[in-house]
Amino acid sequence: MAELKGGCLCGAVRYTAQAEQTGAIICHCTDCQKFTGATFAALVPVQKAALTVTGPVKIHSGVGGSGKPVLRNFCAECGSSLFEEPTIRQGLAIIFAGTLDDPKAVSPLREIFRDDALAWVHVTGDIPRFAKSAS
Amino acid sequence: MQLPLTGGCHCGAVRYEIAAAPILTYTCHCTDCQRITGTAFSLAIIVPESSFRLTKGEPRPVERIAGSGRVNIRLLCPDCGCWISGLGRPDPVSGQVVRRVRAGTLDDRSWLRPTAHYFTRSKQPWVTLPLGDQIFEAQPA
Repeated sequence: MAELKGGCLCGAVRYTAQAEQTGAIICHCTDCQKFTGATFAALVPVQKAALTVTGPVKIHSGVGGSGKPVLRNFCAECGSSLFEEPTIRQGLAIIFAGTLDDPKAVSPLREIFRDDALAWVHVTGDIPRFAKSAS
Repeated sequence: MQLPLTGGCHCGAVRYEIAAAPILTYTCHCTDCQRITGTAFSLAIIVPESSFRLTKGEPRPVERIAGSGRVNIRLLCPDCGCWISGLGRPDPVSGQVVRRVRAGTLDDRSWLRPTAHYFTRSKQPWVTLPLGDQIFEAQPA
């Protein structure tokens, strides 16, 4: 178990999580591109019961790469993408690794939805890479 | 790339149109960009302010003092929190009034290819930048 601490850009929202592993799933799906406004999301899954959040969080429901709804949790003040909850996997909260106080504490575990990735985006490391989802 | 470029936030409440080709596409690896996007870096296009037009919705301005001491205003979707762009302001070198738009919010992202990378001093070690691109430890002067 590793303790992960983080929060949004403006500091209004803070969280602490107990993580079973500290690998980040790099998701290139178009939904993650749009929500982050960037090229991929770096995601660390934790049990929702092991995540404590304080501060003003808003939720927006979007459709993930799976085609099923994903609840996107963001700071109501500064809009930082904090964590998401896939409705196909109840009980799971998936942290956006860029909001960790120490993002370098996590490293990529695998890449998913590589088919949607922008051609110039390269994630270093000998990790599994999937055209779609891993399952 | 087909003009006008169109894009918007994740939920569709805010939409925009850009009538001119971008001046530059770049990534920014600063820790503020990492926090707000929740990922390893942000991706932006710089466009002439006169070419940018909101076509739907009213984004919410959020102020923040950047590491440089300058006040940054970010425009967010009030519903889904998506960061759309900044405000138009003069480019420090050319003087042209430009706007930085978050490129991941474009509808067509297939043509995007950054040629400059800012604040690589805080880049995640597992991100490999394309060879031959312009690399800046911080921000270009």
